[in-house]
Amino acid sequence: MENGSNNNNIWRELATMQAQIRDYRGMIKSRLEYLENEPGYRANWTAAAVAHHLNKDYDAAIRVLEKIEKLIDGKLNESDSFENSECVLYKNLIYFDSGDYAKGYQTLLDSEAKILDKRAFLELKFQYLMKLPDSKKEASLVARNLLKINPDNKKYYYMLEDSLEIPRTDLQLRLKLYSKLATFYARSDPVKFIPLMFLNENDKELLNERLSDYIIEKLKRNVPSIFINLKPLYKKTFKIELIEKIVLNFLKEQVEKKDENSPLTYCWTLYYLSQHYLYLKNFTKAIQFVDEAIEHTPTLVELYALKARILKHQDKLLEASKVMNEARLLDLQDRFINTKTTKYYVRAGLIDEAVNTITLFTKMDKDAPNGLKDLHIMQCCWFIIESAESYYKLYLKNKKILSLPDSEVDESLKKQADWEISINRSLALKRFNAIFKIFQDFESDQFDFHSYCMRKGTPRSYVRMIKWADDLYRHPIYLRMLEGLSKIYFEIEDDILSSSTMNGDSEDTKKLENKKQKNKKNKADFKKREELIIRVNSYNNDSDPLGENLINTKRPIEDFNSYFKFSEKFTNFKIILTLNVKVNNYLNKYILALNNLHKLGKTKNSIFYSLLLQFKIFKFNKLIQENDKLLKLVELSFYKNFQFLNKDDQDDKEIIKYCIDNIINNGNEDKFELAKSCVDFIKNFQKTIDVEKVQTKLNELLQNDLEPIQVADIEYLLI
Amino acid sequence: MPSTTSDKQYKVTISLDDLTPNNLGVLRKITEKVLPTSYPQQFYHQVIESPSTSITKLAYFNEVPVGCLKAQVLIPEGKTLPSCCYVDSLCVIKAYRKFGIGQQLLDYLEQETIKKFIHTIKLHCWVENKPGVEWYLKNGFQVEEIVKDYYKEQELVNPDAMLLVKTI
Repeated sequence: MENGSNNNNIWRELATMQAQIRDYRGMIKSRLEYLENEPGYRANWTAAAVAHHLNKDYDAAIRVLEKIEKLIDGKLNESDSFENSECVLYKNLIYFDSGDYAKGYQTLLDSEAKILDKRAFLELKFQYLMKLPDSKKEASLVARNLLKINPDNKKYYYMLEDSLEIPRTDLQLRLKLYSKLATFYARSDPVKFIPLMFLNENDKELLNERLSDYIIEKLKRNVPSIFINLKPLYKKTFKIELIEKIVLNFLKEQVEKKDENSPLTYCWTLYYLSQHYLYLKNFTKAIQFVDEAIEHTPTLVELYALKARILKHQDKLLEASKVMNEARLLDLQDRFINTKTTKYYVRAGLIDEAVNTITLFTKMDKDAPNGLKDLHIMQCCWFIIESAESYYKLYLKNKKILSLPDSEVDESLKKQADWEISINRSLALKRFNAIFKIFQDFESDQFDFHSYCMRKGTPRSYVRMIKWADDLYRHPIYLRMLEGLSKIYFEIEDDILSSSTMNGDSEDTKKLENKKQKNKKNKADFKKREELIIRVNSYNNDSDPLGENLINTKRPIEDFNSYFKFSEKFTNFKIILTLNVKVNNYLNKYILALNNLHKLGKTKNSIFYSLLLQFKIFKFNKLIQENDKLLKLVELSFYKNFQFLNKDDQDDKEIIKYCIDNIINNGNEDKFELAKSCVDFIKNFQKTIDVEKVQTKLNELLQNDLEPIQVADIEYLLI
Repeated sequence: MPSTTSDKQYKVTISLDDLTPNNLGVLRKITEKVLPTSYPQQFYHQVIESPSTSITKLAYFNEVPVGCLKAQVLIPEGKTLPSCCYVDSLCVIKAYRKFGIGQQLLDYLEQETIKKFIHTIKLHCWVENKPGVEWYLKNGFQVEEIVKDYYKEQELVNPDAMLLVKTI
């Protein structure tokens, strides 16, 4: 444009690009320029308003929206009404965001007729009234209105409570309110459930009565999900006890008067009790009840699924997957149970079985051996991440097998492990990488919506999407991917570091090279490999189906960073901070590492301690001593963070002891620094350690070969 | 047609449904649970492979499968006309008996048998299964013979079986 071109579409394309890279400032200009040239389309007005909104210039956004509303007033036909409704609501949301509640409320009321989404209208109206002075009463009417529309929405009940200004602590008043509401909405669940939440030990009898009614009614109706319903109550121990008594009693009653209840009720009661004991981690009882239920009704899928879950919690993954498969065989067309079985197989390390199971529900190309490619195309994240983690677990298992002495393991097992081990790790990396690719797709998929949403007139959804995409790289799956990748890449880096310190090619790498050569020569292995590739291939025409190119990297930390850089900014996640410390540690960027260590230190947790230890040990091993200033910084950070250790905590004591031992035993490295560390330790934790012993040791160190000035320094610290 | 009774204090709906490759596992589960014998996988796949000579149904108690029927048309060697309909498995899980589920399955079996122009239904029942034998006798079956050691492989206390026959 600067070259004097009059091709206006460039503005539009530019705006799309700017939205994609979140250059909102630049985007305003482009959107406005384009609007000036093409004012005939509402989409362009909306786009300009959104640009202002994203820039937090609420007034400007509203001005644009109002202008177009005025321009088109009375000229809309039926098909435009949805777009109009969305845009009007959108404008109001901006009002709300801007904090001008009085004006926003007025506008909302004025445009009531134009808004099709009545519930959104009422919810917004409620929010305004709650913010405006002296209008709580009106707000309560709105809340009641919403309740009438949907009496099963828990949120509306709390909204009503808030608007009536009933303090959450006034239980009697709340009880009255809900008794009253129950007469209107007798069939609604929240009206019965919410009182169960707030009734406390003072009203034990009443609570017991209500609980009993609630639970037994649901059990008699054979509601499978009743445990999930009641789970929020399990936060209070006395409620758990009440529930346990009620359900056990009900079970006894059913045994005594057999004909009064359906046999299915008996089965669901056992099912409930099993879940109850699983929650309390009483696995023996949980298994006992679910086994009895299976004996009673062996055809109920849920029972097997529950049993499998209990076994999973006991870490019997293989057994769990078998039980889950038993459930699957009862109903092969149930996608849920198919998915569960797949997941349990993957967790148990039976990846081939898992793929074969899920393949029943995937689309397959003509000569595809299984649904793996389809799972990648369909971006089936849960399956891919689970298999990545499973491959890594197999790798660790094989590594352990190989490390055992020959006398303890079967030779064939060792041979198998030897063949599998490198493939396990590279495939893990391959699958983690697939997750990354999917997230990259998610990011670029936004691109179409920067113009599509404007044309369709859905700015509300668009703004939500933008927020979603902004948080994309802190999605739990992405974080799991980072954690998995870090283990692999850091391991590779450690290998590289240790081999380089051993003068070029070490024995190990030589052996590895030899093995590779041998592997390729061995015909049987080659065939096995080809078969494997067919089974695990995840993309069409993939040049690296086993992930070997990925794993053979020479710069693992840089590679890891190419995944990690997208998430770095989400520093309120512990895992991100932890990884950040580690990465910067490897990159020798100590100040950055320390910075993150500090942040981590603010959230007391065990990762922090282990990092602290790593850092400590690392400090003695690396070249950090070259830089005095840096050393000081490291030291400072340590001792600043020690305040988070708890003298009375057993774990913490262990850590302190470990540190002290470490310092004393490594005494020949840099005694002055060590001595200083000891002093600080002692000062902080005099009660927990054998001060005398440390001081003797310290004195020994001091008297040997320290400069007088340093001795003075230490002595000063000791006072 | 599902039948609903409410003379109990709770609602019971019994319905019959077809056996498909997808719920074959249910047939297996119920049969293994109730009968003293265990069959190979082939026994169950037979149903899918030869639908024309099989009569099968699953029975549901409030939508939970609790009963099953598997019978086959027997054609003696060298002949073209079937001799009888033989019941491999007609079972209802213990907790769900006395709801008339077995009755419904038997009614269905008789209807289907007649449709195929067959007039004899035969089955083996373990002699020690007293309530079972009693139930069959009540439903018009007669003891044709006692087959010695029929359940020998299962190592039961008394391995004899009764061959029960009903003519319709």
